Amino acid sequence: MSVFVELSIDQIKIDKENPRIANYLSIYDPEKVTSDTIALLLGTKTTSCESLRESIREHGGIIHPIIVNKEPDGTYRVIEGNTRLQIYKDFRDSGVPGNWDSIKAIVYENLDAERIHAIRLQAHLVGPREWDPYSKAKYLNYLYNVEHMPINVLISLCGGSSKASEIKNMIAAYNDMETYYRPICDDDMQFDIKKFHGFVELQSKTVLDALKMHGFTKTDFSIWIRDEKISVMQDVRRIPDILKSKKAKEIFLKENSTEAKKVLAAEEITTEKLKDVPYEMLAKELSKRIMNMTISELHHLRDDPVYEDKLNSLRNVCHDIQTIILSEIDGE
Amino acid sequence: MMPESYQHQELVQLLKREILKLIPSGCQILIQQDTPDSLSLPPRTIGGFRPDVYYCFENLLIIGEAKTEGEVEKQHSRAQYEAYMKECANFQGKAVLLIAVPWIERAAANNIIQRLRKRIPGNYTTKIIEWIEGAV
Repeated sequence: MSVFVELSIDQIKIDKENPRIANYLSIYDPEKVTSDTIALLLGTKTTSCESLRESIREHGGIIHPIIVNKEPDGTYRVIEGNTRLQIYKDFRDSGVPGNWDSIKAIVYENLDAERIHAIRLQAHLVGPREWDPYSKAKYLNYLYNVEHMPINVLISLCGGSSKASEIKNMIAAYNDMETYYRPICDDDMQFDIKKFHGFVELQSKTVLDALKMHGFTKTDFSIWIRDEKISVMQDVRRIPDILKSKKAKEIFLKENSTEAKKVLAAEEITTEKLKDVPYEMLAKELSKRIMNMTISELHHLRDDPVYEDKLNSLRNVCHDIQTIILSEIDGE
Repeated sequence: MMPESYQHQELVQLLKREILKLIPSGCQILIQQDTPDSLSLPPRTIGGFRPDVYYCFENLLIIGEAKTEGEVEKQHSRAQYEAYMKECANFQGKAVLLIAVPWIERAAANNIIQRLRKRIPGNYTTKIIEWIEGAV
């Protein structure tokens, strides 16, 4: 049962379980986080909220009411609409003309947890103001593993069966990240939530099988993530190919996935494929590569026995061009 | 020069505020900024790069670099951090490298800097300053 009312904004509390805020609160001492900081986390004073702010200012208020829950102690807590509430508070504090003391709200009374979660999921997992992937996964994991929400309910709240594997992967990825990656990080400053995508890719059976087959574990994978062996998270998909190639695997463990992919690319090119390319094109390409060579590659060529074949190939081509072609043309 | 984004400008402001805490009072005029609306440019590039904020007076060097979301891990940015850290390591005096990033990038920036520190040892300080949108 809900009612539609105008509520004084001072009666309403921000929803601190919003993952955009909750993530921050999990890193910092919640006691030290002020309501101003929470407002900043919601980004209501920034360009990203500019159109919403202008729309509210132009209309003299919001069109879609916020959703609040009246709690047993008589207070109101936002379920959906933190940002709009904060904009009202900003407008009132900065003296923007208009009535910003009260806001349109749909009020539920003592809503149970499941209904609250359903509203939040609809708004932020499949709605217009999506959370970042790690925050979504954290919340999904909370609902599934802490609140024990049945997976079919979770799936239907998130948009139906088409999302089933995505949701399962996100929860599994979140748990892998917490189980294997967090313990090998020194602290929160090292734990990078942006690596989440890599753990989603890890859920692929092909990747997991490849790890197992070559004697690696999820902890090894996490160490690769931490040590930046996996340069971009999409490269997780290439792990089966990298581990399968002896040379690519060696370079991957020594360097990173970017270098390993070069080995794979070279292995895919056969001399048969190159034989019809005109020599001037090959020469131009080689010249371009040489000009763009990195310092670290040069160091490897100079010092690393693994690079001996590469170095010899360069020496041989120089020798052949000079002694066979140029000396004939130049008459030397 | 390309106009800098709103986020970048905010990060630069944050760097300036942090530098003000580190330098003697009355020396703020010596802070140099690489921004479109500023006339004072750093006198020279560092390893081919120009930092966003620069302060060098007597025995104190402070280099400030602002990185927006998505920029932190780029190759160009890594080359900048490396160049600035080498500059700090070679400085005779107290040297500080400040990197201002959105708070979601804090771990990424921290990990890169810690890794580089192992390669570029020296008696200098590095600090990641976290920015929350709208905080300045």
